Amino acid sequence: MPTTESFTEKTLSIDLTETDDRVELIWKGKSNDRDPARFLMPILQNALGRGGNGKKQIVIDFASLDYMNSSTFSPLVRILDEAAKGQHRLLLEYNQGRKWQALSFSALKAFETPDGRIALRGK
Amino acid sequence: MRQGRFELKLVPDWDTVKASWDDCHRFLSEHGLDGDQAYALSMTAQELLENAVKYGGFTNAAQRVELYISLDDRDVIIEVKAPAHGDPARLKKLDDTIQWIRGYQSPFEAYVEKLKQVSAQPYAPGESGLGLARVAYEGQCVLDFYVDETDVLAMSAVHHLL
Repeated sequence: MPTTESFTEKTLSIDLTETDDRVELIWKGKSNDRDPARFLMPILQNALGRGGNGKKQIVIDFASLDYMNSSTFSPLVRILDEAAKGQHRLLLEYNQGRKWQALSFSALKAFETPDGRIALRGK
Repeated sequence: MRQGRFELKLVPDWDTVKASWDDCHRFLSEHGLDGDQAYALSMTAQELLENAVKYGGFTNAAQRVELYISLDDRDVIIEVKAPAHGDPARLKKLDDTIQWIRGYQSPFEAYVEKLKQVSAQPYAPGESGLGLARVAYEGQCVLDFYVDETDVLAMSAVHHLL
């Protein structure tokens, strides 16, 4: 039975859905807070914890996100780094049809792992 | 012939600066930039404004952060002015960051390298230089700055349209 929790901070909302084999975070709105890590790090750490170090795939879906400032990338890349060092399986999804997302997320391909545990996918 | 100028004087407050996105985007769109260009350059203005609010040397309530956008058929110039921080080390760091970005063959490489640097550091709010690297890469802008005789820091991002 999937469980869903929603987190909202000003213009950004994140829906976290957990099933037997997957933890999914869907971002919507704009992430443009002065210190987005304060809101994001606990959610991202929570998702990593639920993922059970690779037992469940974690999917972070940015396709519906309208904007993120550079400060938002800081917590995100730290989580990618942390996930890569463990056994986590993490998939970042973005909207290939939106140029800013295609540009922003293609840079994050540098964090993909050769074994595919950390991966990005445009959709 | 395309020609236009836009300016805003804003209270150096986070929510005020965020609210300027729509005005920037409208100005750029009305002057013939396509949706992706208008978006990328609105992002550029936001990143520079955010830096000004975070790191500007505001010492009294009357001071403002100023945004100027001018464009013609060749270029879009985005300039953000704010009181310079009193610590010369801040200006040195800004200069070092800009020179560091220029040292890469492509802004994409600089941005990826900056993301890697940030990912490897323990989290602490503060200057990472990520926003400037992003402006160079996603905004396709050449960055520069100067400090005038009244200690105002003017940060510019120039995007070539041709």
